[in-house]
Amino acid sequence: MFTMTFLKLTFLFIKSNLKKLQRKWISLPLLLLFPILIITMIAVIFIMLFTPSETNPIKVGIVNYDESQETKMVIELLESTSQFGEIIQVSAMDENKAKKYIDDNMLSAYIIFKKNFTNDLYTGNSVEIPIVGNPKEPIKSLLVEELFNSIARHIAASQANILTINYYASELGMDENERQTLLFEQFKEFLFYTLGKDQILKEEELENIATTSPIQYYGLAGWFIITTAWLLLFYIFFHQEDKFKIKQRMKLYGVTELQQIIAKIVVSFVITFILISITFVGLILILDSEFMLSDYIKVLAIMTLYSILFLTGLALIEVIIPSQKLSLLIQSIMTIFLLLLSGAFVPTIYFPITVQEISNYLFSNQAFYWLTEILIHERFYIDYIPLLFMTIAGLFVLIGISRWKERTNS
Amino acid sequence: MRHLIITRFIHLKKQWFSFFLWLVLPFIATIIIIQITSYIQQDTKVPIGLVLEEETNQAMNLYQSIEESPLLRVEKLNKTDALRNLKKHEIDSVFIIRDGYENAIKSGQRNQLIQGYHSNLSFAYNPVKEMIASLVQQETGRSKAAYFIMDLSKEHSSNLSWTWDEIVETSKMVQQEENLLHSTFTYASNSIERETSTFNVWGIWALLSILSTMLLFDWIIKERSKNIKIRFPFMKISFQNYLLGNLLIYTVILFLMDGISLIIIYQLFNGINLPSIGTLFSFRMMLILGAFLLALCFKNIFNYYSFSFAFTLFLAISSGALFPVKGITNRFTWLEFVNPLNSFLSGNATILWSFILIIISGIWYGREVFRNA
Repeated sequence: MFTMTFLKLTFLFIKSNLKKLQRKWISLPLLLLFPILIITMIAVIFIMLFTPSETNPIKVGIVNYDESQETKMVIELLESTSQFGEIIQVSAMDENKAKKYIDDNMLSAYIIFKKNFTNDLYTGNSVEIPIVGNPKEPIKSLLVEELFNSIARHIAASQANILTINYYASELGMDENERQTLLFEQFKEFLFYTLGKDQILKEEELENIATTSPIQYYGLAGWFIITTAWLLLFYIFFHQEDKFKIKQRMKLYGVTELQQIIAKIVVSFVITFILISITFVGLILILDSEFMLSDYIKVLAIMTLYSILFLTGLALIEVIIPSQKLSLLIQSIMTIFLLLLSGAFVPTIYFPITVQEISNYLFSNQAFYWLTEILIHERFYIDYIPLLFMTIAGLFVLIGISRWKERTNS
Repeated sequence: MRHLIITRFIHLKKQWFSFFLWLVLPFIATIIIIQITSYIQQDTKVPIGLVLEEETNQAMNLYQSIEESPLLRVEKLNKTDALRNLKKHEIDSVFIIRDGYENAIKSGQRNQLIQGYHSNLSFAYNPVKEMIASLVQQETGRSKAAYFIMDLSKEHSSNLSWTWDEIVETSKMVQQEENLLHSTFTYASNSIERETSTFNVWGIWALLSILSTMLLFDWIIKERSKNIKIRFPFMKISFQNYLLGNLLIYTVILFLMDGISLIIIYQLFNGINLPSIGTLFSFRMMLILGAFLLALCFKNIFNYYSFSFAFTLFLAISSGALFPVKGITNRFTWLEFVNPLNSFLSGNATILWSFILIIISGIWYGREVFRNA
């Protein structure tokens, strides 16, 4: 008898939610397009960021106080060759000019060869190369630093060798002048030797995984993020505010908060489910991957569990936190947190180990992992058990807490 | 004015906790976010697979020096496993120390000693490749020097002669002992710490300030409800003056809070550059007027909250506070002009938007007076 009224009332709220949707259908396109707009914006920003434009290379200045043959040669080499590809442009200048260029934001960083640089190199004194970055362009500055660190590593190794040669040459009793020319010869020798470092490595790209392209990975990730955003937005859309008096009156009819929450979950889920079953077909067509009907069912099954779990999480926050503002904030934080750790933005293998361990227990990570396994790695067997258990546990926690809340309130 | 302040505090007394929470949210959340991201950034490592086709001394030395790199998480695997893991993208890339590595080094060769595999999802392949190449280069360079010295001693037909191992040892010692070459990094203008420089502390703070200001201004919607508004004709103060008076109270409170949070942030992240009072005040001015005018547009408070979150998210992505958007603004310079956060983030006063909002507020005030007259 009790369950009968519970179901009846839940069904009533489902119907009222659907009516609300019908009444406010005008805001529907906005609701659906907002996440797509956001994702497109992120995509455009990152594509722009990672396609280095030739019109806007990283400009690096070199200030030379040393003026020896050796440093001149190095600078000439850096200026003329495209050692660092098209992205970095090196040019020599004096320090005042470099400072002015940094102020005018025309330079990302400059490095200084101090006085007696070469001499110190040959005599084995410790040498410092100051790198001065442009505070307005921290990322580019740090990139330049990273680059010159690796150059410094090469120079340090060559220098140790030159010093060793110097040491043994003096053991052999060569005179000062002879040694000087020998060292300069060797300096050049090692400089060009360093430039030829690419011969060390033989590169091969694994080509047999033609299916795993960044486009596929991020296509799937984008779809996953948009789906999550839709779930959140629909859940918020069906938010119903009732005045205290109406709430009291409804209570007399046996209406509980749980019925309304379940009605919200059901409606949000059903609408999102319809949307994802359509959009996923579109995704497959765009990504042009081999796909079978059984895979389609698997994906929908995983997304069903994920959607219910996510909505349950949203509902839990709403039940626990009475303030609307605060519960919206926590719901947004939860969504961002779940998405960041799911691997949809950055693949989880690049996370620190501790973060990886935590994220393995998160349902968003599990769901996205299985999606990539099905779509990208063409895996056949799928373990639904962890997600299923989490869903059941989540629902029980929601029912428990909502019941308990209801009792303490009355 | 005294009455206004008293009524405002009576209002706030009931919800002081929520009020206080949203007041301190911007700077507390900024600090937490920066701490978490810097922790994650420090601990982020690139997972690579390493295959040793021979386990000679030289190969093991190389393996050790690769493993010691703070940027890599090295897994020693056999070739089949490594390539399979790479296919599944469980590791970023695979490097193979090829058979004959030691012999090649000792005979002074350096071509194709290492084989690198990457897939099109290997985001970190290039820097890792450079690093490993530089390590191998050290070894081959020493070998080259050793051969040169051995030749030299033959040329001079001296009775002194050294073995390859001896010379390589000396070279290693020279490099280790003398700490020969190092680079130092500083910023041009002042001493910003490099750890904090990569995060846009003010960007995060500004975004959270936008959200908290909008949410704090929900009183406008609550107090515009019909059963309160209807009493205003019988009071000394008109409704629009009541709103403006309260706006002033909020301005004072929020501006004081800004001052406090800036000082705390400045203390925590030393060396960060502080926005000037004018910059801060004009930014706060824009936020307050913007939130005020937006709140006037809404009747339903929950819709206003949802809008605030969506609006903040939109700004977070498009304003350049979190992601660099230079690539786009270089092409469309007018975007920089429209972006409300741009002037604050580049350390200038927010003149354009404050000006526009003051004018709109003036129009609103004039209309209200006209309507009530």
